[in-house]
Amino acid sequence: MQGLIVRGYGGLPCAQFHLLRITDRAAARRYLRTLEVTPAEKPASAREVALHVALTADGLRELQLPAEVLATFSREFLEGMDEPSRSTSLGDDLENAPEKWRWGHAERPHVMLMVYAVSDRRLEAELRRQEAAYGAGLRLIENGRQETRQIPDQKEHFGFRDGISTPPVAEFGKRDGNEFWTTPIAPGEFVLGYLNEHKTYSESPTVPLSAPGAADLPPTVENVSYPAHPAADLGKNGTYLVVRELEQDVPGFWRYMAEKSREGGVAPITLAAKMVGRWPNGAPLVTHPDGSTAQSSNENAFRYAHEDPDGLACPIGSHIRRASPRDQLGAGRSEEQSEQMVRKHQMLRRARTFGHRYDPSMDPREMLAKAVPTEDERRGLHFICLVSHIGRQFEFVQRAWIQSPVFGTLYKDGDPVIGGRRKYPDPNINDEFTCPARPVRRKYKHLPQFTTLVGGGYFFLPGLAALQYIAREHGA
Amino acid sequence: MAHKVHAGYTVLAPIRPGHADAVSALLRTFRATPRRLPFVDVPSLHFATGTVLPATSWGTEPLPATLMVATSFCGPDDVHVDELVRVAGSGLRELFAHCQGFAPDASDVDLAEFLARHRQWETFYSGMHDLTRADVLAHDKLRTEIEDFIDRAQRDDELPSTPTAIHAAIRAFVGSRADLRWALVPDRRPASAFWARHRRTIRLATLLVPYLAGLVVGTAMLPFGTWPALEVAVGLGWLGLFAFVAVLVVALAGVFEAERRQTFVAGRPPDEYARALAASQCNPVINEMTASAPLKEGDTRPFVLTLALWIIARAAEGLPIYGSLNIPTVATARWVPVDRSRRLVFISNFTNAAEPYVRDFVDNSAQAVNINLTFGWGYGYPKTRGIILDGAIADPNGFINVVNTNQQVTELWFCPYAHLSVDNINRSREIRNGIAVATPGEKEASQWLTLL
Ligand code: HEM
Repeated sequence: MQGLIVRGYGGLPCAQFHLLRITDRAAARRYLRTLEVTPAEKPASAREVALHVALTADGLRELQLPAEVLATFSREFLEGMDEPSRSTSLGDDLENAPEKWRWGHAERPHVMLMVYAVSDRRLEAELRRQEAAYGAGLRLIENGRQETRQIPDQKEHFGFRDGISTPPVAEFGKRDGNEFWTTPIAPGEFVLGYLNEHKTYSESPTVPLSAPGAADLPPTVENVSYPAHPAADLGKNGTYLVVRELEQDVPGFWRYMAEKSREGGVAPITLAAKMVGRWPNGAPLVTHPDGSTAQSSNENAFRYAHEDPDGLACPIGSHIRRASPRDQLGAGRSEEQSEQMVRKHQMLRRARTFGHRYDPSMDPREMLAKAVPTEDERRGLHFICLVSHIGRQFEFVQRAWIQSPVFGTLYKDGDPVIGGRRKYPDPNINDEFTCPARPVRRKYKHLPQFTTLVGGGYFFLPGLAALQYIAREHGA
Repeated sequence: MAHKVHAGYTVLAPIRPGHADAVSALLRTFRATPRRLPFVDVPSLHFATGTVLPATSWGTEPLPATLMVATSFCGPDDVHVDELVRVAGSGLRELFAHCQGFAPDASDVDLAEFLARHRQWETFYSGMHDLTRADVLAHDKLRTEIEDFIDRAQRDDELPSTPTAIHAAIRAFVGSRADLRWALVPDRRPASAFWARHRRTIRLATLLVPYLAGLVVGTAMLPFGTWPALEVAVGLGWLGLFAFVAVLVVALAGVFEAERRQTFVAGRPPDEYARALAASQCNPVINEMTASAPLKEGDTRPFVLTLALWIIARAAEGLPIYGSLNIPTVATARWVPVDRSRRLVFISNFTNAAEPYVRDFVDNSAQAVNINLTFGWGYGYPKTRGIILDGAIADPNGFINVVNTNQQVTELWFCPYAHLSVDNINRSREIRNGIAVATPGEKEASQWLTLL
């Protein structure tokens, strides 16, 4: 199992991802076969550098995986993130349309190499080593060098602490008693070949037992209907990886907050916090409705249904409440039902920020004070998540919760922070934000888009044995 | 005042041999050019689906290609049929001309009769009761105007500070607008709505209650005298009851036996097909799905399905017999037994897209039992045990596969308010009801304001 599944490499703050296309199949295979991917089982080997590799469906096709094997991968993965009806339903249209992407559409990558290191120096050295090694068989696609730049205190570019809430997985997650989920989430939600929250196995790619190379893979576990016949499990210990490069308009974000608070309602930082659902230092609005804590906060055991049913503290439409509604799914569902359902739509997030900070302090007050962009630099988030079922987890969340105008009790809202906006005269606009308050709510209309999708793709992050299988000679 | 009970009207008409493709094409044309079948001008109509159920078979028994026109409407049946015939008659004639037993030059009366003759009973669930389409749209407009009023008042800093004062200000605004004033008058449900909704249950009860009560009383009287006529009547009564139970036991045993024999579970359908289905589900708020399949094997299955659907239909009408049938994302859902219950068709209008929508069913265990009970009959559905156990609970992947396999790309779909979820519709109604309250208390007014 690749180590990225069990750890996010907080201790390796420097990272770069290379999006590659295969130029010479034999050389690419050789590279993949000999690549020293960091395994999950040996954390010591990842003290300074970690290496991971993931492939797109185009990559697997290019490596000539037999058609019968390819067909067993999930449909979402095979079609890719930029398949037209998918773009419409995920909100990847208009400003976010694949035709405008910097990568991932005009030229889809085959392989993504992910390098993490303890320092810039170590990262550079490792990158040079890898470039030399893959150069004979793979080349970077246009804009394929994905640099990252960590912001201290786990901040993302708008100035909020990120990466706080992670679904606890008994088998490999750190558990610190500060989680919302008191029963761990089943590992099969995030890794193929293990029991998931349905107490069954997510659909996993397979190889016929008689096929060359099958003997080196583990057999599929007996499942109720899938697969119909015993086979070798190519998915085991692997998973799907969703990558979305989101540019963030930081000056636009804070300018909007300043402008709107001048029109009345709450102060600019409070408005931004209402949109996120946490204060900039991470403290949840549910437990700290009137102001933040002094220290950075990792608090995550809060609930919604009893504490804040009407969203007076943390708006129903805020980013975190949409991304994981916890115990209040709305539409008359009980807490228990909500939790049962929300558990089945979790993701392991492994995001990294890129670009320079808008203000070195990352203090929202400083960012507010700076009225105009001081530079023209691109900055944002490489959103990355690991899921065993792209449709049930990432796509469901993105479509039914993030983008949906009617999420919870809402009519025309969308995720205020990351939503793609459909605007008038579209009959299904989702560019409003409702901020519940006493005695009555305040609505923010015609929200500008604060993030723009500029690239993305679905990848398969193979287990170590599966990587060897993929990299073998499959013939034409 | 006429009642506004929401019900389904499903017409099934076998298609003349060789005409199925033409009907499909015509339905698609109607979707593209709504003037040719102007459902929008039928006031009693909510949703409508028009599709061709393909020719298939149940075991060796062939099931014919069938045109299905399924509307959901509110109010009395005859008013709905009358409107359909008057407003959409020419389009309907064009469609049914491809069906057996229909004369293209049918008069309005003939057409209405044809519809009634081919109407199929069904289990119909509605998430929005006692509302006309005009109500839904009027409530939406009312809500939008109230929201805009609050926005303006907030911008101009003119909003009062207490909930009751805000409520009063909104009421004054609504009262000042000729096009909104109707909302100040409370909406009352006529008594006829209760009868319209529960009439089937009431009719059954008027037969069953005296029968069972008579049986019990008669049996209790027998030891106290000699009444030969009573003895015969009680004997026959018991015999009838035992016969019914015996038939049920045999039929259920047949289903259980067939459950054990089941070997086929649908696999993943071709990706191109799933992609075409997904492409038909791109509306941001409401979408429609039609799924149809012949039943699994088992000679007694059609009988048991009919009985089960009949009972679930009463639950769906609000009779608390089988838990509560609350499906929060569903505007309408219907289960239609077709071809003498040899084939089951499911049609729904719901929030979200089909695959995530049906996934919702298996995401929580209480619902999954309902899903086995209502869907578990279709060919390829994962093996159930005792009708409600296992099935989709044990094999959610198999459940999704069978739904994707049996779902059709619906040719014609009419939805008059694609931007409103069923939750929106019910919430707007609460807003409307709240504005009709002249002087709410502080707490009531405060609670009402959270709806906005
Ligand atoms: C530039 C884009 C994004 C920014 C700035 C952002 C920011 C944040 C922040 C500040 C938090 C709170 C910290 C935490 O709970 O860990 C958060 C949580 C979260 N975000 Fe995002 N996010 C972005 C994109 C996304 C995307 C694309 C998704 C998935 C569709 C997503 C899903 C989540 C989830 C699941 C949580 C945790 C919610 C919870 O468990 O309470 N985010 N995000």
